[in-house]
Amino acid sequence: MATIRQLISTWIDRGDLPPDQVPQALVAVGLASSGRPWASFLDRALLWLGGLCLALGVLFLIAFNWSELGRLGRFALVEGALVAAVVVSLRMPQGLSRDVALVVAGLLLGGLLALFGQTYQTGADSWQLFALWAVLLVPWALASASVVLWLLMLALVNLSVSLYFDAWWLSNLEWAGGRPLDWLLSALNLSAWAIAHGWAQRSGVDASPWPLRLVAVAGGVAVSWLALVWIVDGALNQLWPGLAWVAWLALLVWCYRVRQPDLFMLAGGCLSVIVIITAGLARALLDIDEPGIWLMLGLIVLLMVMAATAWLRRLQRELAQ
Amino acid sequence: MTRLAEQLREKLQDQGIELAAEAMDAEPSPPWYLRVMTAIGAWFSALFLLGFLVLSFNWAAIATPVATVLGLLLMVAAWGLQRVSVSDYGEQVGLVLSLAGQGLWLYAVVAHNWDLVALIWWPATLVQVVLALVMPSYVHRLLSGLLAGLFLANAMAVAGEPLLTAPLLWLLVALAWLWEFRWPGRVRHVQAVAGGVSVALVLLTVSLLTGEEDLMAWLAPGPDRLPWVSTELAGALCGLVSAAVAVVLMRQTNSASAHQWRALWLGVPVLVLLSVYAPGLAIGAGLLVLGFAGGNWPLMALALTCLLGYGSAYYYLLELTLMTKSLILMGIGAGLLLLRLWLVRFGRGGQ
Repeated sequence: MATIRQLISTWIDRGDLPPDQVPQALVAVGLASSGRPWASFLDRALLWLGGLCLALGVLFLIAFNWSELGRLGRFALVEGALVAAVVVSLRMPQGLSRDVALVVAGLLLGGLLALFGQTYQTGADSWQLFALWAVLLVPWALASASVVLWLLMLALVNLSVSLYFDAWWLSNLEWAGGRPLDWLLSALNLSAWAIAHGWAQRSGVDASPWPLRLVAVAGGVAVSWLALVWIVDGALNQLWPGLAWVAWLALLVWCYRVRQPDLFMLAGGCLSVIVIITAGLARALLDIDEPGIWLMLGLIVLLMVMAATAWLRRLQRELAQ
Repeated sequence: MTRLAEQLREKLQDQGIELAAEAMDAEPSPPWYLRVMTAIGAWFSALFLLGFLVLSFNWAAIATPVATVLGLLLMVAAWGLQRVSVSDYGEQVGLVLSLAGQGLWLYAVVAHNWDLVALIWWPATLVQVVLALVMPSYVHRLLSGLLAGLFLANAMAVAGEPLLTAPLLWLLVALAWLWEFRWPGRVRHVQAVAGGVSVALVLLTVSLLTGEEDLMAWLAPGPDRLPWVSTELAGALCGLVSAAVAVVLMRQTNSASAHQWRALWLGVPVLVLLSVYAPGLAIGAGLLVLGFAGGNWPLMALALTCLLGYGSAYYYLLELTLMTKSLILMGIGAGLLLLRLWLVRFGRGGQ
């Protein structure tokens, strides 16, 4: 619908659409309020907004009385809400409402674990909470086949790994030219991308559904960060992070330019190239105390952006035909 | 010619509407992620260029009038670049140059007399309004709309009445989206500015209407608040605008039943009353309805952000107890569900 709005707006501005026929045209393409399905919208909007206000009101009421609730009362509340969310999701057909109920249940599970840790003062580190939370989500994600739960689990694993390295002061160690944390996050997220890509191929879905794009972004950011830290920290005697980044880039181009063109994935790859090359040049040249270096860097970045934009726009025109 | 353009042309032809032949030559707009990529790259290169300018001159020795003129020249250069450039890159570099020019203006004011800082918000708002009108770039207009809204809020706060900003901006936003297609040749212009002001409205709604009375509290405080403009009046004004939006859209549908009109007239005073205590919900719901009416999914997403943000920030509102807020929200929730029940039982006849 956003693209229809852009097209119609452009045609009206250029005068391609006769001004006296604009109201009729808006009705024809579904952009006029009289042509919109108000009944179903109001039905859903009033249901969701009314439910949300009620839920918030109940939460505020609980917060007002929290200190009066005993240990049993607090656990009963959170567990009751968790069970209710699971029951609601079991009764819903596959779709957005079911996914929302599952996410709510997944988040309440984390809340329950946090309440447990807070009430019984187990002394566990925060990474253990997120790791346990992720592990407990696995059977739910398998049983429900919910993509949203898998994404939540991936986010939790990333968080618990990062917190683990922080807790044990391991963040600044070096291994094979990069930090072990960056290597591990890259491997984790790139593996998730490979699994998600395989699932998308087997399911025969559109080349880039939004879950696959999210996972691809996570993988791209992780491996680009590995290469960026390698450049900035100057551990250039070891080439492994650079080689890992180049290998990822080659795989990206092969998958999404050669096999199944996808503009979003290639745009992400181009952005990574621009950032890494800019960082490399800045690292090499900015030590020279000369204002002209800044001008040169600006012009180089300009050329890279123009080249990437031209290439991607040509691909966009090809795919649109 | 793209597939979508061809499909739309056929749909219009079915209604007897003929497009000009040149319509099919319109270049497809780049998707949002391509614009983000170009923007990030352009900002990198523009910052390097600015770094070159900063390192090349001894700025401490340059007098304030020189900084003012340089700032103006940068803005004019940005305008010229955006007029001649058809690429996203030119648009982004122009944006950076314009922001650098505005920054130099601000530097000129601050360096000249720090006591003038509290008074810059009205001229700053005016500058953003002018930029929103003259700059050719969609992104610049959106940003100028956003900054104009935020600067207006600061100006009203320093003038002693921050709470009138939200109803005023909500009225402007509602008018813009209701009439966005009424100015051929200016449709994209109106959409860009309205988008920016909508974002400013949402930011203000979440902060201002939950107790943060002015966004820049470290400024000179200004006179006391006008006694007849209270939080409740500001909330009621927001509710009135939301109600007016609902009435206008209902009239535009041309097919509402008597029951639906009755539901609306019953709902309007309730909406206004409730928005006295939770105006952010009235604004969010109004934005949601406006977004749906125009098939504007980004506006609907913004509305949902407003509702969730306001709902979360409402928790911290100090003027009411948590118990009172709980009862207000439960009352609103029950009211909305009852209205839905009414519409399900009686209101289906019109559509």
